[in-house]
Amino acid sequence: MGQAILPAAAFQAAFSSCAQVCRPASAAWDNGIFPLSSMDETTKLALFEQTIVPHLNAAYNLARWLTRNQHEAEDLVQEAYLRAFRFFDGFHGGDGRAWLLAVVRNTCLTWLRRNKSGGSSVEFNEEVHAPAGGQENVEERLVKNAKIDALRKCVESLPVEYREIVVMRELEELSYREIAEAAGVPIGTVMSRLSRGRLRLLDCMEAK
Amino acid sequence: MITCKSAISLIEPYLDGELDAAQKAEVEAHLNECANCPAIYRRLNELGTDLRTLAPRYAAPEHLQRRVLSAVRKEARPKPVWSLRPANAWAIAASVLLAVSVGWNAMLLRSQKNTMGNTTAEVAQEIVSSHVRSLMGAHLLDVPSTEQHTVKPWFNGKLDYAPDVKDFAAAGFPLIGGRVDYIDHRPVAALVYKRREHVINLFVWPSSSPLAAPAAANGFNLVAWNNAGMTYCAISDLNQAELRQFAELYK
Repeated sequence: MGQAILPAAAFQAAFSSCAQVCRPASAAWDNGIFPLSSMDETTKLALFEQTIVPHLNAAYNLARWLTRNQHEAEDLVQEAYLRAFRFFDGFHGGDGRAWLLAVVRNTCLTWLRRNKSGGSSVEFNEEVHAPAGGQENVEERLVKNAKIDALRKCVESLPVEYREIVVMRELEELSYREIAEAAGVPIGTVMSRLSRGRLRLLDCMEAK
Repeated sequence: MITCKSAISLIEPYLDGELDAAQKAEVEAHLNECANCPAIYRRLNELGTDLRTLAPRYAAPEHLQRRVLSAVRKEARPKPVWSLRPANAWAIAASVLLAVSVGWNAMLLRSQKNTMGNTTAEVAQEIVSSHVRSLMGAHLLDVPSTEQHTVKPWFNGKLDYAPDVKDFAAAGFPLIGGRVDYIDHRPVAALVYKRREHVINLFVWPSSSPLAAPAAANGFNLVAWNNAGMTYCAISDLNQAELRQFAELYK
């Protein structure tokens, strides 16, 4: 009835040092001793690169809309990815995108709270996917560009608690349940914020 | 027949694809008959279409992917304790590791071998991997049941021993089911418990040799014990104190 427990910290420190050095050695020694820590870290990284890294565009899009600033968005996405990796043990499968967006959202909101003034809205569409088309004539294109600009300004002018939910629903196409999880609010709150956000957008678009 | 008031509150969930078939039919029927609601529907529908087709979806700049990947990979690599020229650092790291591993192996060779001949450290490692697999994939439970009298007989014929299945729902560790897993070249019972949102895998197999499980590995906590010819190993992302509390209950 004895409990056999080894000092885990020493164990981890000794063997997680570097996969490249450990691997050949471990084959020569008692195969399978090292991987408990070093290979799990490798496995974790591989899993992370498979499940979380592919959602970089979604992460950046949300950060860009929340900060309204390209450079801040880039820094915050990197920070969010590091946090996501550290907390990756808490990811129990499922949709990696919704899980990542929750981390991105929290990272951005922390930054926004620290920088109360909020990001500036400067560049116009600088890194946006070019809208498809080319058949349309100049006048149609001008009308369309004006509408794109109006939409962008209206969404950017929304209070952040409406903006994040509108972006997650309309641009990332998350379900109410996924948004509720990512934003840490009940589904009813998602619905009411979405509804109020849309009303404001309709008013804003009509005023343009 | 639904009223305008409830129809209006359903228009957005309708457009967002959040309604079931019956509710959808109700909204559609109302929109066909009502004089006012279709205008609201059209405005919201147009807004949604505009947002989805015209609002910018900012794509991550190319350099951001490289930046993020290298930051994460650097994070995955443990930090060097002292700084040296790279070549020397590797050489020193390699010799330190070699020395440590010789010591470790010598210790393990003295440690008990279990019946199948694997070192207990290897078994502990398999337990960690098995726990991770059970959380990542869909294979957490073969027999989802909170009823210990369902779970215990389920193992009959699947294992050549009968694991002791207990439920601690009253103490806040409800049984949620079990599965057969494969540890140390043999099928073993994995009993699955929950503590709030944390999953606890409890592996049970016949062996009286103590398991040299580390107290923590890869962010998970482990507690191992022996009782009446069985080895038990509980693993979870739950904190060490509560996991020990679980182990004490089981004993």
